[in-house]
Amino acid sequence: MSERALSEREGSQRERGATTVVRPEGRGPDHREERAQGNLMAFLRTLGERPDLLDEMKVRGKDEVIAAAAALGFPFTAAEFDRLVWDLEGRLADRRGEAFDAHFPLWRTLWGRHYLEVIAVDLLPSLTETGLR
Amino acid sequence: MSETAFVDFLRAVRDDERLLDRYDRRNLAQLLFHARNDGFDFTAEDAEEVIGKLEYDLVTERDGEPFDGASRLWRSMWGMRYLGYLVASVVPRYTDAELDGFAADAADAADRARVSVA
Repeated sequence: MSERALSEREGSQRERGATTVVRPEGRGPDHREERAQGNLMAFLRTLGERPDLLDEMKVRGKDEVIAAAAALGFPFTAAEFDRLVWDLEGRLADRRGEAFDAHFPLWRTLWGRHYLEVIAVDLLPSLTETGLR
Repeated sequence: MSETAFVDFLRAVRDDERLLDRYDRRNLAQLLFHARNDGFDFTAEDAEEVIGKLEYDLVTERDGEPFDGASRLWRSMWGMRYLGYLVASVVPRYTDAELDGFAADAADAADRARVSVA
């Protein structure tokens, strides 16, 4: 299982990481998705700038965080979060010349911390640092 | 084979809530340093190899889902520190014998990678 699995995993992740966010075909520009992406990025930036809010949010479940984001004026869905963050993580790995796999160094920053903290404090600034966003 | 040491470490924190609480707050450098003090001699690469295999198997085989951003497993990371997530949502899905198998599998993969680089 191992080598095949790892190879499939890396292939899948690289392929996924190399794409931009997929929109439904035949509907033209999906402004809702663009708005949601803007809301998510603004929400994450807000968390990065407000440690008090991040401390409050990082210990909550995904649905609770998404509801709180909407209440703050940043609506997006769980699926929109999944698509955008996975895509950004993969693009960051590509930009850094690293594989988007189990050894991607971003995962090393997870130890001792909460997932949302890593996304707001390490992933988001990395996009600016590398010129991705 | 320090992938085995990492699996031993996972089982130790799974079985001892106080130990988990101590390690859950540590960053990677602290975790590796203190784990060695406690007799668990593994590297970051060893841990990543094992975690990668466990997560991939859990998503694709146990949950029968594509391995992507929408995989159900990632939802369980929210609200938890990383080690806490591993102990709560990954380790309990496997028996001790299965965990040993993943450690051996990860060690074999790491050995093959070293040979191919050499």
